[in-house]
Amino acid sequence: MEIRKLTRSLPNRAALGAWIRRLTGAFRPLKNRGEFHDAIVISQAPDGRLDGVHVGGCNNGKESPPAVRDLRIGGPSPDAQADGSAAESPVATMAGCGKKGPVVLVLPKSHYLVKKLPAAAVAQDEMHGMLELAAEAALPPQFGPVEISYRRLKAQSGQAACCEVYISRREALEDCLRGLETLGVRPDYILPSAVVWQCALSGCVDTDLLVVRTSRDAAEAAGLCDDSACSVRRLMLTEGDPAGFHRQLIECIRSVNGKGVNPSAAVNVGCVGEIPACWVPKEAVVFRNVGHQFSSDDDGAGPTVPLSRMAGCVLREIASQGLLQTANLLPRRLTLGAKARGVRRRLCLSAAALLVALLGFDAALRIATARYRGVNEDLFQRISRIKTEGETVGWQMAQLESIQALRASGGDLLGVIGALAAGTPKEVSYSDVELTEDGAIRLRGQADSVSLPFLLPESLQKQAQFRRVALQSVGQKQQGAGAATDFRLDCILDRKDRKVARP
Amino acid sequence: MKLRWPPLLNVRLTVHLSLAVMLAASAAAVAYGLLPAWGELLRQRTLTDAQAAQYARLSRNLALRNQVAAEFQRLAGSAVQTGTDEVALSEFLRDLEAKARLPGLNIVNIKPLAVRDEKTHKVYGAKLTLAGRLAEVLRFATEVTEGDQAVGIESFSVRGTQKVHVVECTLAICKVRLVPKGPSAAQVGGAILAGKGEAHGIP
Repeated sequence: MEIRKLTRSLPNRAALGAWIRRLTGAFRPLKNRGEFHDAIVISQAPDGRLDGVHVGGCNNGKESPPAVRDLRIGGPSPDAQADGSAAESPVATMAGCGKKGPVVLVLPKSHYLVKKLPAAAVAQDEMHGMLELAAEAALPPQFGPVEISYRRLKAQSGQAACCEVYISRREALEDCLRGLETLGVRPDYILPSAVVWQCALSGCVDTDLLVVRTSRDAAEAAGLCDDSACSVRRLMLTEGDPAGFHRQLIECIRSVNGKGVNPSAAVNVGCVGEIPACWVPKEAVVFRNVGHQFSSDDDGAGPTVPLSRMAGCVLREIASQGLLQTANLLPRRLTLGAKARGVRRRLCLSAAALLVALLGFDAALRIATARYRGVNEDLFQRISRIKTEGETVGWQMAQLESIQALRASGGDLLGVIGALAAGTPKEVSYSDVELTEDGAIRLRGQADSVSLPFLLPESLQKQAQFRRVALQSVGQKQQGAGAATDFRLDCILDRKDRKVARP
Repeated sequence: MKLRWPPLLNVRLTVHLSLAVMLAASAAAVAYGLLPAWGELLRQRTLTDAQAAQYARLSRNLALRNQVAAEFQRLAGSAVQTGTDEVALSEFLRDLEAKARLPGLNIVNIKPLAVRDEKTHKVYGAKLTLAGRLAEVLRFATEVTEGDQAVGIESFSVRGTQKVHVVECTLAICKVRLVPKGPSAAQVGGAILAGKGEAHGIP
């Protein structure tokens, strides 16, 4: 009855399933989650507007290519403008989808510095602190407290290993996080756009430089150096000044290849989105649109492509969890706090699970004991009803058994003598026949020939009364003019017919 | 009121402390809760097995009630112990002597054995040595053990003698007298008699 009440009070099966999934999800290792599935990627445009995409996840347990869907964040959406409602925050959108994944904030180049620093051979957990010290030493004192993250670069032959260190003011990051907090967004990762660019460039073949117009008056350009370091530059777009854009672009190309534009070898520039005709310089620069690689499900690549969409498209392919951890610019205070919260939550859940397991085991034991008690009580009642009569009958049965066994022994003498007479040749006689209480028979006798006693065991074995017949000794002695053969033979009286089966 | 985690405890220390506490609590719960409950469960299960076996035995006995009663009807009234052990033993020896009075058969020796109290019955025995022809000995043995008396031969020994066709036979003959069910005076008396038998030097 209590269980029925309890189940009736449960909200519904779907809610219970969601609760169980959430509970079991807490124990799932982070690395197995498919980190950028069901993720929200946010970026802040230079004009302060937030753009976001939702990176789709698994479909009915089968891996499918994750879809990237644009989200509207901050400011009323076109639909909302009609009915006057406010736009949804990304987390609210995620909650509406019934999914929960990490929230990634992509920092534009204007929010961080990039420095290439040598990576000493230290342990992984010491690398961050060491690079932080090195970065602070390299910065002027008035820069203030910073947060750093890093990415290991490919080691060049004959050179020390280096790291690409991303440095951002702590104060700027805190401001950014506070702004997101008002929208109900708490990022799990803050990735510098250089990481996104590096991933994007790795996926673009025959592309020396990637350019994306992030807003109406700004663009970002990035290229990979020989050591896989990523050079990212912010390009300012001014109406009617294509020469200024060209100058910035050439600088950018020079920072990547160290030579600038060479008329003999054209530089391939991939442009994400539409290519304005005024962008194409007269020098040997070939523009081509690679926007199809970074389009979302909602629309194709327009004139501007937010960083978040690019990040959503490239980060879903990212495989290195180490890169995500080391390149994360989220303040250490928050990452450590989140880690501690996670550990505490898991501890609490473990303690609760342990408690439930102990209580469940205890309950199972008590229920089983109670059931046995009930059975015992029932058996006791039944036994009480038949005990007196049943034991009396059992007593009488034991008496009958003893009488039958004794009566059966009455024929032993006649049976043994009769069997000996039947199984013994005429030339053999017995002087002593003895039956003990335990059924052993000892025979002594004489024979006319020394060979005859050796035939006796086989002959006696044929009689039903005897088994395990064994000749113990045979000897010949002088008797009068001739010789007499004495023998001794043991066997067992077969009393199986005498055994009375107890009813 | 919001519960705040102690700030002095770092994560690793928290984990270690929590694991230690959980381990201690689990050990205590197992020692003081689960193990006694487990012991009680085993005790109840053993009791159930024993009672189930007893119930099965009693039920089987009751199912054979009529058959056993019919068997008892066929037993002679003298099979049940009524008097004292001395009287029963005396009757048994007298009966043996009477049946041994056959032509060509001599009683060489006869001596009573100690009364054996077997809970449901008593066994009176005598060791009898006879001399005579083998056929007479067998006839005597048949007469003693046949009939409705609960008499049997526990052991025997047959030896040839110097005389032709004469054997010497020693028989351990036993007779059973049934003891009525229940803590009757017969059991108590039987125990006393067994003690008397020893006191009297009866082997």
